[in-house]
Amino acid sequence: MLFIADAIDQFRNNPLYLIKEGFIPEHEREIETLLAMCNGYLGTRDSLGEVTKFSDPGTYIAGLYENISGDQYNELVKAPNWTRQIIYIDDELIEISKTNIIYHLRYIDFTRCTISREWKVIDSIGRITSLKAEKFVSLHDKHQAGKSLYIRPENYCANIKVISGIDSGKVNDDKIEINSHIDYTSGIAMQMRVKSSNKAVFMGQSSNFYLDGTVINKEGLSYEAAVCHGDQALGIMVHEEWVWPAKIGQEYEIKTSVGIYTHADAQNADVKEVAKQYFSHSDDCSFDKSLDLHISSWNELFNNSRVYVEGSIKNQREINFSIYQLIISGQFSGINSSIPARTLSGSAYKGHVFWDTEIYLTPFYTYTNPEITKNLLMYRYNTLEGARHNANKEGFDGASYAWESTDNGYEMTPHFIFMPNGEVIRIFSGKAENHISMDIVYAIWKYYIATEDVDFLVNYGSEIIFETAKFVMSLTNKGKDGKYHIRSVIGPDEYHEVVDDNAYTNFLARFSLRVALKVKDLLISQYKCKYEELENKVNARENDFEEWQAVADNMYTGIDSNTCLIEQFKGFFDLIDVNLESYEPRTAPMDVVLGRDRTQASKVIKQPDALMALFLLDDVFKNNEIKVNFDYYDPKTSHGSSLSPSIHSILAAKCGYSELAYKYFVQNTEIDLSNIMGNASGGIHIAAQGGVWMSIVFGFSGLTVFEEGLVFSPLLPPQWTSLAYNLHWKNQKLVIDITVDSFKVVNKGNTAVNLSLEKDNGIKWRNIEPGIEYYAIKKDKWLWS
Amino acid sequence: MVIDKEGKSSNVVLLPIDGSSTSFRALSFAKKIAEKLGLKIKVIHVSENEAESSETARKFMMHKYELAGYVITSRCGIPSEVIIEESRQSRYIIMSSHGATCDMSKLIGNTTLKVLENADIPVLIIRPNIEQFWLEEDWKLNKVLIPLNGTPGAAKALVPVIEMIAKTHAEIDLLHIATQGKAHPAEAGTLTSPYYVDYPQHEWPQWTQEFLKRFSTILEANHNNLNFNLSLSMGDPAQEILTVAKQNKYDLIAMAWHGKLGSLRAETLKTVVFNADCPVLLVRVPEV
Repeated sequence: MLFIADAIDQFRNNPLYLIKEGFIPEHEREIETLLAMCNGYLGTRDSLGEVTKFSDPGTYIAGLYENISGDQYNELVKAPNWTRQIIYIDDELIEISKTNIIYHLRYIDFTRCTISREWKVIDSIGRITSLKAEKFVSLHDKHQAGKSLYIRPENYCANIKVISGIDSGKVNDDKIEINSHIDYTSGIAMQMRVKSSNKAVFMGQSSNFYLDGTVINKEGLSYEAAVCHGDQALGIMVHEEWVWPAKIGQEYEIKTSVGIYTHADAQNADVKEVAKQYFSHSDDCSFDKSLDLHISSWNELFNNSRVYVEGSIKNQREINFSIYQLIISGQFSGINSSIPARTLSGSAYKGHVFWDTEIYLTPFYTYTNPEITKNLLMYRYNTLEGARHNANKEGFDGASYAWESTDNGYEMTPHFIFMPNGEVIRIFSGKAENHISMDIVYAIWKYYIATEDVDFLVNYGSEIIFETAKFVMSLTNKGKDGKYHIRSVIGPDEYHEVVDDNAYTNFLARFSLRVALKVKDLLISQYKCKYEELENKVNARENDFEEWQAVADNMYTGIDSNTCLIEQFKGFFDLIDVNLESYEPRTAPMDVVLGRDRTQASKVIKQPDALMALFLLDDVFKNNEIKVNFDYYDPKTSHGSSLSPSIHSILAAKCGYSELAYKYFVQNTEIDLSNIMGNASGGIHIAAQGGVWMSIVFGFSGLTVFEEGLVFSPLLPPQWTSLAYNLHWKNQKLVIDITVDSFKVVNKGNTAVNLSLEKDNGIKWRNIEPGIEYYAIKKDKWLWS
Repeated sequence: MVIDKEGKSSNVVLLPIDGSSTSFRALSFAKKIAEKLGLKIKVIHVSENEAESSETARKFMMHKYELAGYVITSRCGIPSEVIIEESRQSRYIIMSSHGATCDMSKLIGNTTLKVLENADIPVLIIRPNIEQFWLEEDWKLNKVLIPLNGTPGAAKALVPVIEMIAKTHAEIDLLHIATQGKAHPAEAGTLTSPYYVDYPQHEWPQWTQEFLKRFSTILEANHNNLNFNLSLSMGDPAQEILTVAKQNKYDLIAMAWHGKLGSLRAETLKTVVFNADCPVLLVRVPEV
């Protein structure tokens, strides 16, 4: 058995391992999040097998929402915890917070996509035991997970007892029903059912016991499958139990494969029967086979989307972590559920889905594994009825996607919040943060441009795009200035609520209408049947299209034609200037420091807003136009959101500020990984992880995506000597390799694509033919060799 | 805190008295706490010379009925050093912030400062000009305010304080004060107010939940099911503590502190002690 603890110095410097050493109780819930296992279908926090009073174990299934709290908002239902492993030496419980530890470490192994725990303990009478546990949630089969436990008595012979099971935890008995099953010949199982809706989760496990690597039949052991309540169980626990006379130096291992299903998988069949059938094929789902297939899938996914940097092992590890989180969150996500803003790694935000998915996550998937983006956008298509309902409820046309969405697309944003200082604050986002619908259109169009997936655009995306166009039209009003205005909205900068002519919203509204008109032309010219179907379904006619064009052409944007400065919203320039630097350092967001009223009256911005529009639409803005706005808005941005630093990193790089870009990059990587912020306990900030990838690709390598091709303007931070990654574009795989003064690209596909290294002074496209290495060097400007 | 061979902690409340009327102000509080917790009061007088000792004995006689039944020890030496020595056999120190000189130009008297700086056990400070209300009324420990800076070390230091409060069944309100102008504490496991609030409707309830979980688990130590409330405020820590304490009429403020108490240091602590309407219980965070 490999223990990395035996060569810990070597592994500490290996960016393919994220290691958390020791046991700091206060950190426990953060570590549970950081080391959570996920595959997009299910996610499980990395709680210690014995569960301590510092633990917050949780397994969440994508799309399994229910109104558990009794308020009107759906939330992710906490499913039973399949990771329980309890160890006794004779009668002494091995519990991390009570047993003396010789060492203890947990880590993500980026070479296997597994979560491991290694620890050596010395009990009250001096018996030393070496232990290792490994867990995974399969990226090969979404229903599979696994856990193993290795035990080696170092200096004693004694009876060892291991209880491995599935614990229902502290369920809400009024709402949740737990049924246990121990009659399987090959394992044990538990069903959790939501009483009011018949939504159900079914978990089963089956194990093998090994002595020095050889499997031992259950008949040869003191083995029992049982149900218990109390003692070490938090709720009802179905478990397998082994007791054996352990001998000094011998190696014992229990390998457990776990299967997880929901009512949705069973469709009309009994979920128990579906799971039973699964376990009847025990060879196919043995721990070793499941793990091998999982590792194989991981390696394929990781190698496909890996980013390599030279110059900083720390940064490389952080990047690996981000890509790991993006892969495991995306793999089986989509269609009927999406990726919650805090993923399936915690209960924060109630598992709700925000614009984070389309704006911060789909770029990674679109350019590395576009099928994931398609599935995520299909979730939006499948919740279109909910969006229509939201628009209708608010008196608008078309479809208005929920600012906070769950399984049905209905708006789930709370109306009020009780602050810890006793203040009650009204939340307007559900009504006024309308840009979410346009963000979805943006993601659809970028996906289409990158993949040319006409089937998706015509059959699914077009309906969303048309309904959004109708929604946008009902938001806009023609002003006396002849321009079209959108009033009373909230842009990404939520410090300024219910404003008129928010630049981000107006730019995205205009973008959405222009996309709708392009799609209309495409349908009329090539997919007439679909056009007619949509014409009737969405009720969009020729005169509507003329109005869409008029609004798109005359949308108020707040841009000064002389200076290129964009006013974030009507009246922003009249607000009070605040010197943010004078408030540093601080441990609170600026709206807490200044108070809400002062913040609203000031130019202090929560996160990029006008700048966000410039980032998303950087193909229509020149870099000097971006720079004018960045120089103005950057000192005013307080980064009160985890969605903020990554965008500033990208834009700083585009403006040529490499040190500043790197500073924001580091700030972003620390959002979840910092040991002193305490941010991560409720779940991964997946948008920040998407932001890590974006700030590398769009920022340091300077990618701007045009419909015709890709433009790169690389600017590496001084800390890095090289950067390399793969990019999927027009169904071709491009291998990008950048140093401080060189750029190399190889097209690994079979069709040439356009690429350029000059954005602003007339793009000269270079045809990148398959199999040929293209190389450029940087002098005063980039020159192809 | 002294733990004897049977694992029991000391059952002594140490009451340093210098004979001044200001120092006797601590007596009524010591009595109530000792009574509530079943502890014994040990009155300690320290004089720097024998002559002063006999004078104090005379003053003690004036309080003979109040002090009846308590162990009274009189010792010569430097007061703060003797008190610290005696505190090694005690569970709590209860004393006035100022002694005989009652130099109110100082936020805390010299002896008390030195005791605070060196004591390993909680020190309850009573200021001489404390609201008469606390002296006349039957002081009960019903509501306690505990400001927490979000570091695990401070929370751990407060465990002996919680031991005391738990026996009184007092309501415990935690207060975290978000600050600006101060860097984020570097201690691992620290949780200050969230820097990033992506979606306030979720972030604040989540943060409140995490803060309570993180620190109630530490504070409870050997107790189960203590109820903690949490509130957040922003601004100058001393002023916020004083304002919140005044508004909610707390019976006690309990604070952990670390570092040194010299001139211009620990101003928050000193300001709170000097201005609080109620007694202030202080415990020093051990240096790591």
